[in-house]
Amino acid sequence: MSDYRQLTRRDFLRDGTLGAVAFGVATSASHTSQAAAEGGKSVVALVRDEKVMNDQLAVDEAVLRKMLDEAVKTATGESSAAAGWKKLFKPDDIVGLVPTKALNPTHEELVMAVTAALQEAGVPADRIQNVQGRKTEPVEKCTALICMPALKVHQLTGLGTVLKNYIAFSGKGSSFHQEKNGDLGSVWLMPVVKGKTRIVIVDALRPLFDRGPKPDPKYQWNYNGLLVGTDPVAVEATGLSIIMAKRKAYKGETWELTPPPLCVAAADKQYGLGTSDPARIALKISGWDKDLLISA
Amino acid sequence: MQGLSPVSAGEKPVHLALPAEIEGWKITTPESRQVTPKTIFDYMNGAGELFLAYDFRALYVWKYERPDHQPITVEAYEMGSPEEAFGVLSNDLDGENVGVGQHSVYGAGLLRFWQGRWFFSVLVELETSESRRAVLTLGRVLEAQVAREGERPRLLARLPSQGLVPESVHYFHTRICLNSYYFFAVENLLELDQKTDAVMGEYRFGKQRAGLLIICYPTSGAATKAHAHFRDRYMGGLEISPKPLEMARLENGEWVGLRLDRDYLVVAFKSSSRDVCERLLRAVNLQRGGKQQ
Repeated sequence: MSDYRQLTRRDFLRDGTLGAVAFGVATSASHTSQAAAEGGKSVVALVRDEKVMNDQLAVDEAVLRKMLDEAVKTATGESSAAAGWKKLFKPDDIVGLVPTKALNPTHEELVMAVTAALQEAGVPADRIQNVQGRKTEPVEKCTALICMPALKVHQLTGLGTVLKNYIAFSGKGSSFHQEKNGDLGSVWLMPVVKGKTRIVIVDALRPLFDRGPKPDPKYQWNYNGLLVGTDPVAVEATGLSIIMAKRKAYKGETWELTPPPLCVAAADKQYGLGTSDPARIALKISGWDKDLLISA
Repeated sequence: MQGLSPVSAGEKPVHLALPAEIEGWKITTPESRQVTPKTIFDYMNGAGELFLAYDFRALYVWKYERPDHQPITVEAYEMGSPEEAFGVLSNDLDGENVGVGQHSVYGAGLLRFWQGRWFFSVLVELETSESRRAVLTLGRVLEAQVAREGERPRLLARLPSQGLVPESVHYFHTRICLNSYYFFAVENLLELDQKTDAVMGEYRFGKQRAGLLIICYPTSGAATKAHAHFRDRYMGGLEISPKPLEMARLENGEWVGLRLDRDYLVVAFKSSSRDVCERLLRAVNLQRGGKQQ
């Protein structure tokens, strides 16, 4: 991708990347991800369970915890979830949880499940805190972060999930909207954040596939999933693929995201945060397979 | 339970009162939460920009809860004019018109409608027969407290009616809104701002399709400048038919067309054929007081 600020729809038409841009994926692989990899690929775990929510949308905490354990085990390549957590976090870490607070927020049950898992891995309760928000002092004190947004479309940035989740730390959120959504990757390079994210856990229990970030049940569905990985861009690109597949299923034809989520490919190509290239992502799927919308 | 709107000189304040209980849901907010243009980002983060783009003045929020049921959130947005209130609704007109307010859209538990200078949203995330009743009743309670005044933006009448997909219509001013409906470019090629009025819609003629955008600029000079900017940057290098209908075929076979007329710029886009592109550009009646075909 050339400088995205100069891009027009025609540029995507000319080089045949309109579909790729709509999906937010890079068209060649030159990332410098430091993420965990398998055979050169970034591992993303997708775990789903039909029973994680009941017909009143109440979350079954035990089922969710099983999903989380399975996803962390897979994403870390360890033999158990406990080993996976211990690989990522040490007892002397100060761990900041960064869920989405408002407008299709991360389920509180997921925050609680992650907190419990961290404690079981030996991180004391007083070294785990929710640091989402505009105050950066709590983030500065953290030695490790867990990015845990909910999966949703955003009318100002295309997608409002992983890459946008740290935007409040920048203190200038609006400056990353519209033409500057491609710069969202820069937030991940801010000194208070850079290099601290050990794992990304996306709440895909009930994603929002249009008109976000404000909730609209017409565009929400029970996907009952968690997306987990250590490469933030790979996790974002995978979530975006699910969103795009859902949009296509809803309309019966390709339904482009507007504005296009330029931030996803830019996070790969310009900021080196990970890979958005599906060919370099090892997607590992387990659990409920109805209406999966994506294949490994 | 009340919310009191701020007023301009000469206007009477509007008191909005909501029932303490509805269909088993009980109000949990003793007073409505008031959100202002300065605090809207605290309430909804960056999404506030979409409301500020429509002359947002104030927002009042109430919550209802019922054990073992999803909560209901009631939002009353006071905008600068009825046109702006309609504009917010036009963010998404796809849904059932349930006859609340001057136009309503309902789907899956979310009721949105406009009346006068107000835009309302009543949301429950899980639709049941009870929750639907509660949401619609709350809508009617609000509707009864706000005067029916004002009309839809006049510019909407410039959209040709033949072939128009009604739920695809949007009214807006700025690039923020345009880009969330259709992406032309990262740059502000059409030079949109708070002083521009714009309407757009999707057209279908059998299997043929196109989009149509009509922009009214504050001056003909501003329209001419935007026309040149868009033509140069978006249509540069293409074979363009001569004025007054400047049409060109894009690399993927879609057609794009421009028509500049005084302070109006008409853009046909994503057109599946030259014929449809030309037909739409010609169908827009830009005569003062003119009616549409």
